[in-house]
Amino acid sequence: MFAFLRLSLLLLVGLTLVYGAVSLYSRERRRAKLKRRWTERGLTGDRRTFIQRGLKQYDHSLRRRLILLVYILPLTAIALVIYVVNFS
Amino acid sequence: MAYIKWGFLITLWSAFAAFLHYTLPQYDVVRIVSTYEERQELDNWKRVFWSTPDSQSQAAITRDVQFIQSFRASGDAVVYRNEDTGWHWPPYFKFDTANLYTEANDAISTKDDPEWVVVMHYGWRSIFLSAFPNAISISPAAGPDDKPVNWFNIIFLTLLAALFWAIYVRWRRFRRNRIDPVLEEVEDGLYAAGDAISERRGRMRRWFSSLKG
Repeated sequence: MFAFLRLSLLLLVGLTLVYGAVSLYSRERRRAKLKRRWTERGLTGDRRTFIQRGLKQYDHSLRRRLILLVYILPLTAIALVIYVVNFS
Repeated sequence: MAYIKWGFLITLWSAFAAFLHYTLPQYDVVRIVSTYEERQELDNWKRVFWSTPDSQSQAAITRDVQFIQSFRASGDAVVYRNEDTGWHWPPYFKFDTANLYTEANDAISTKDDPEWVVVMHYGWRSIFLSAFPNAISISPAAGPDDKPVNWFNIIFLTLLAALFWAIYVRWRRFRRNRIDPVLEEVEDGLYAAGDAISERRGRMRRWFSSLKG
């Protein structure tokens, strides 16, 4: 039981670190893309508002939610391994 | 300096390759001859090659371990240990040791009437360290020449290589865009400072020589 708790804790900490890193990375990339789009299209007006609006859209996007796969995939893999090794 | 760098890199990657070779599953086509149980004294470093027991028996340094004896088609003897990995490393999550022992006993066959099975296992056999690979599962084989395709390793190693490549490319891009310019700036600054100093020194020297006349 202790081993199970330890594994759970390690997974929680490790996956949360990965999740945080991937989230930050993905959001920064979106920000860079918005900045690039601003200069490429030669848009006028408030640049800051443009980027903020783009990021807000990103926050509601499917792409951001897909980062949750960082948790889902390893846990599914573990469940699958347990099934294949012990029950098939 | 280049030797040290390459030596370091080669050592690191060899260690990583060895780690993968120890941990990833492999398949043997064997004929199971017998099974036995033996008390093992697992002290200090010898534990590395054996499973970690559950917390209750952690303190005990001796315990009974099941073994599976078998032969390859080539005639080489292979001995597996049969231990739970549980929630510990490596992540095989094997809890069905007793079931596997039963299956192994069921698959016992003689030389005259051989029954070939595929044993999935991980780990190394070392006669000097008394290390045994841990059997994970047993399934019937087509025959002594059966060569199971290790799909898991193919997919896993491909994905791992892809992951490393993705990180490497991004790291290089990051270095080119963010770190190199800063370093260059510092370098330019140093050169500029150096130029300024040497110029001043030249002026001083001229002044001194003008004094001497």
